[in-house]
Amino acid sequence: MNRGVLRINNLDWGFNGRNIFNSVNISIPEGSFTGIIGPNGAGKTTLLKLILKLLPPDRNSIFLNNRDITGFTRKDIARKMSYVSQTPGVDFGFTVEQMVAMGRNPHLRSFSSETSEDRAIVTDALRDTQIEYLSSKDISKISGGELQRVIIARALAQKPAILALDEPTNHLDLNHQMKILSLIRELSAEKGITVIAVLHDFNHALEYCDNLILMNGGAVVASGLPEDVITPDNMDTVYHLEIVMEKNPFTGKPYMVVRS
Amino acid sequence: MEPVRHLKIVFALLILFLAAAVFLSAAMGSASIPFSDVMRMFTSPDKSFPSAFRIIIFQIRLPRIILSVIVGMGLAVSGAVFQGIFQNPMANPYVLGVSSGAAFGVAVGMAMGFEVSFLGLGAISIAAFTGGILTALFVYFISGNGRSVFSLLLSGIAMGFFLSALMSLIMYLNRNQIENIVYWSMGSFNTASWDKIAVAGPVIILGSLFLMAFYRDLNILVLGDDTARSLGVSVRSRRLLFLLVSTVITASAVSVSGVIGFVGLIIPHILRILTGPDHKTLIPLSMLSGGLFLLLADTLSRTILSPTELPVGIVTSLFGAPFFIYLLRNHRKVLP
Ligand SMILES: Nc1ncnc2c1ncn2[C@@H]1O[C@H](COP(=O)(O)OP(=O)(O)OP(=O)(O)O)[C@@H](O)[C@H]1O
Ligand SMILES: [Mg+2]
Repeated sequence: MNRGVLRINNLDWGFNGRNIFNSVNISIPEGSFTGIIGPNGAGKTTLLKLILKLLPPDRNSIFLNNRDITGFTRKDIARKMSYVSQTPGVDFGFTVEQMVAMGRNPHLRSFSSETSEDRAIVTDALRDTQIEYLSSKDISKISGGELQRVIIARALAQKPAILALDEPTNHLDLNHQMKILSLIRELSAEKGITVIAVLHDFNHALEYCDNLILMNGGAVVASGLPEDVITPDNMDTVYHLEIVMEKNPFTGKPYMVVRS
Repeated sequence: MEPVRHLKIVFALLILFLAAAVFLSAAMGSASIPFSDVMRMFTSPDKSFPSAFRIIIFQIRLPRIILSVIVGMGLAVSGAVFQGIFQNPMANPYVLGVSSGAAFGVAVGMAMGFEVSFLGLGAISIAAFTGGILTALFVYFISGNGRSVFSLLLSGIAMGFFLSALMSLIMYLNRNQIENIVYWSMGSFNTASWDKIAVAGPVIILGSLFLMAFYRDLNILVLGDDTARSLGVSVRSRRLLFLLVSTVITASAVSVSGVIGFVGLIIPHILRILTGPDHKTLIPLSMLSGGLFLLLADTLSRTILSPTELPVGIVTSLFGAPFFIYLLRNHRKVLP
């Protein structure tokens, strides 16, 4: 059995005592691109926030490299995991470059300044997400999709071992959706970054993910290879949708068609 | 408006204006001393000037000038930090009850006729500092340790009303002190002294430099709690640290000058619009502009109706309030 960089072990959790999760178990293999899918309110965002300790998990329920994350400091976590949130509301007049440079924060000590290496990492992140041309623009004056790429660039500048993304493509045009997902998959393949991404587009999930987790009502309904998770049966029980699986003529990967 | 990108020029200009204002202000006042004499007195150790001039410049005007600059620095920096932490352009240490607490402390002190002194500071300064700090701490704890920004601000406002009521009660019962208490609560530098500078100066300047050193954390806190946490900032403990340091700065300022409004609100607000939200520059620019603004206001307050003088708080409010309303109408989106 794969031990996983990130393990969720009998997780019980809820807002103000009303349980959302009951004994959830998940193991995320190192270097994988794992997708999380599920209907609105399934608990996907809550799960990511627990993993990042943005919400407080109980002890012995979430393990990073086999260590209970409740024992990690904020800085420890931020050096290992970065987060692209579902709703990146920003309106404060920092420049794009300043915003991306903030990704270096967990690696810097208080009172010390950025080194040339930090600046090189920021430049790379700007280039990888194709937003160099925006560097000195005010983040309150760029488009939603550009902002999303800025947030992704900041997450990359954090040089994480694990990159957690909550619907990273929801503001992007089709071209940039594919570009960002390809970039993320490349990073995962080349640099061994483990990616956990909440996705709503099943065909993206089929195309880019190594593993999928299907959630519904706070429970894991299915997990495993994308084509074993996105099945007519599962889609019927969780989404009440009738689907047919086809083959993508370009990539040969499985492709899903919904009956309207 | 695009933020100014030539920040070096802005810094240089502010330093120049500040130096010029110091000299000009030293030459102005009811006893007229020629500007050229002032310049020479500063630049050469020549003893040939009338000793009355030396006393006026070095024992009366200069302490007052320096104190007003330092207090302006402190009020502007703590205002900048509060606005950033609370992501609210209205936030400043006064809303946590620092000013009403200090004023209450002073009212109690005057009514009881306290006669203590400490480090060369009189009873009034000590009562103001203690009242300001205790109130801010109390507000912080009754609002659930800063768990919610909203409850913190509301608790501060409620506490402010409560203390103002108590203060009115004290004034009502001690009518002979009303004038003193009211005068103090409008802010003034007419009791400035080297002793006050020696006590408040280091606290305000070191506190401001300390906050400036944390500019990165301050910037990240502006992005909201979840983002800040995911970037490795311990939001609650950092916020408490910054609140505490800025509150101590403000309480020190209030203890030597009384309550002076609008500096902490308006200076950082203008700077955010003109030079952007980066605390690395916002804090030093706030120090320079706050110092300059309050020095000019105080110079005006002691010369405009000479030989009488106005409380400086009246001057800052007369200029500050309309300008602030103008800013709010024209630049709603500086902070969310
Ligand atoms: N702050 C909160 N307090 C109380 N309940 C919450 C809170 N945030 C989310 N919930 C509830 O928790 C459940 C899971 O929410 P979550 O945001 O994790 O869903 P999601 O799977 O990310 O949905 P979506 O696809 O809409 O983003 C929902 O029932 C939601 O109403
Ligand atoms: Mg969600």
